[in-house]
Amino acid sequence: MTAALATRGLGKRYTSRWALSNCTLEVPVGHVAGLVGPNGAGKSTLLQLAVGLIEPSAGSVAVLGEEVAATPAQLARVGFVAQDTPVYPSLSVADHLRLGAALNPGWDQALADARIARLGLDRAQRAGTLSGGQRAQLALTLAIAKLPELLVLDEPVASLDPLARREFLQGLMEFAAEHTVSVLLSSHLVADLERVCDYLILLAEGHVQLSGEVDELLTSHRRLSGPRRDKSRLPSSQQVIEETHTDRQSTLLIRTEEPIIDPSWTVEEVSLEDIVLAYMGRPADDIELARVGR
Amino acid sequence: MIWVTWRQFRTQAIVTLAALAAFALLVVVTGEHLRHVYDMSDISRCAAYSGCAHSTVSTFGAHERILSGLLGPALLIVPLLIGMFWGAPLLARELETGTYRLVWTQSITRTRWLVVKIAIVGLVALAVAGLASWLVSWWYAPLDKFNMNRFDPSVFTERGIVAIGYAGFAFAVGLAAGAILRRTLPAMAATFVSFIAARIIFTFWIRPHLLPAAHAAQQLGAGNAGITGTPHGVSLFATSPTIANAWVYSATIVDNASNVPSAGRIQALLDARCPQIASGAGLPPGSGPGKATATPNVLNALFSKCMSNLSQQLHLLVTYQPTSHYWPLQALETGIFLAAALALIGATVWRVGRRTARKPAGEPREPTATPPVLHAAP
Repeated sequence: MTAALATRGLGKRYTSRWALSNCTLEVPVGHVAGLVGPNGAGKSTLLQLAVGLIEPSAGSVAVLGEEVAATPAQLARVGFVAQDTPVYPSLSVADHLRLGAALNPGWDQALADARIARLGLDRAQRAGTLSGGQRAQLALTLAIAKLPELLVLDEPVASLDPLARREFLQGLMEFAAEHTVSVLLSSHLVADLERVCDYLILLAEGHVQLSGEVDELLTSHRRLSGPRRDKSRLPSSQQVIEETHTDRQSTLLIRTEEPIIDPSWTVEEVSLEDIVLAYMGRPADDIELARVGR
Repeated sequence: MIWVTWRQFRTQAIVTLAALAAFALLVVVTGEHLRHVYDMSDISRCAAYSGCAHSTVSTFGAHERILSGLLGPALLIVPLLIGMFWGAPLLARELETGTYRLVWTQSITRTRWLVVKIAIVGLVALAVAGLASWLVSWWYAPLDKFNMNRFDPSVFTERGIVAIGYAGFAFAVGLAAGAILRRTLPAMAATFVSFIAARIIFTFWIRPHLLPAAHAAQQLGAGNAGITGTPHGVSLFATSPTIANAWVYSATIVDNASNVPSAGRIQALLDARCPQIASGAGLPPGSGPGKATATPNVLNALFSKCMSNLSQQLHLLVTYQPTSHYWPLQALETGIFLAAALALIGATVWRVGRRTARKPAGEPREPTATPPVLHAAP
């Protein structure tokens, strides 16, 4: 099966700074994948590389098994909602739909019309006067009515209020449920992604720190607490991601595929947010080891 | 794509069309009047600079003085406006507002998107400039027939087909500036400066060398030479002769072997051939023959006799572009500006198609020093 997104040693440099470096990952098709990381981690860079808005400085990137943005046919397979959801301010909502219809051979006018009607958008209204939430919905409508196989969204909800945020993600999920589409969306908020994603990629300081299916991540990570103990005295199957120690007690966040049988530990499940925070706090040299999956 | 281009270009196109229509109305109404005056006056029967009564010339010259000072410069501004308001924003506005991320991720390659936009807007720009130039050329036709100065820089650039070349070039400069600067206002400013600089450079340093000049020998006379008093006596000087509809580069007094005679030789010739003038008779020091107030008729007769005497040894060598070079020069200048425009457009399309050296608009911010926000707002 081809990957929705596959990168190998991918890097992008702006003058002297590497916004993304040595990024190798593979997101299988059929997932709603979340790309999480702090501001400036390289999320936008990775996504813009994936949709072909920029070219890599190093390595390669393939989307749905093809070279990125090389042909109109390839462009038609990928929908993109850019950060801050840009639209043409002087064009009306209807103009935007007509633009989408004119530039996309696979355009589904009925789908676009239905969405606009359900959202209650005035077709004659200029896009420049829409609210942030409405603008994002318009951008999403454009991206999904071209019926892409992969939908890429760059921080789509970052500037939305909580209600608009929920409505946007709901619309996205409805579309993903009704159509066989892979979704890749970025956010600096784990909570946004937790609700909708079944796959997670963590990016920090231009490197992939973690990637894998959310269920797998949740079952393979545990928090252990108990009497103080050095991490060198743990079984080799347990990898310590984060450790805090007091005089008497140790708290470890570990990753393991094996059951934990040591009775001296209190074992707790961890949330996705705990995992993300733990990996983000790790020093950079451990990065290669931390990649989950094969 | 054609619809998309039209939709984005619609407002400018309609405004331009309205302005062009108003301009055409003004030109046709006043131009017809100018033609009427021309046909009624004696101007049409006498060549420029000669054969016309002074009153006829000044009466005709008084017509449409304001408009004749405005229409030509208005035509010069057309390419500049096209470059600044059509060329510069074409890419810069998309890059500045981030909408390129919307349109370049539709099912059309950005190269095709750009080429279609350039083709449509660019061709309209050429048509607008051509039409405006045609109107202006038509309007000035009677005045040009009268003035016979078609190579004068302001006349040459405000007639014929060169405006088409300027418009194409200004459009391409705006486009390229927008691609490089990525902001509309700086791109407009850069277009303004670069276009004017290119026009000045072309007018003063390139146009004179485009075609080899012709040479002609002229007999010395009142129209091309003069005598002036110097501290040491008198000396002979050449003035630029007027050749109808020609572009005179230089006029030099030479001897029969085509050498420039020394000051001493001229002095000697003047002493020998024009003794009365050389001795300063009736010629106040420091004034030319025509400026003497006392006895102009006597002076003129003396001067004419002197010139015809000198003609056995000296003549005027004129270097000039003949009027037959007018359309070749127009075509060359238009072609060079259009070729430069195509080169700029090609480079811009190539640069945009390559997708490098572009910082994503979404991530110009530096990484924040504060810990990342990982909690959703409650």
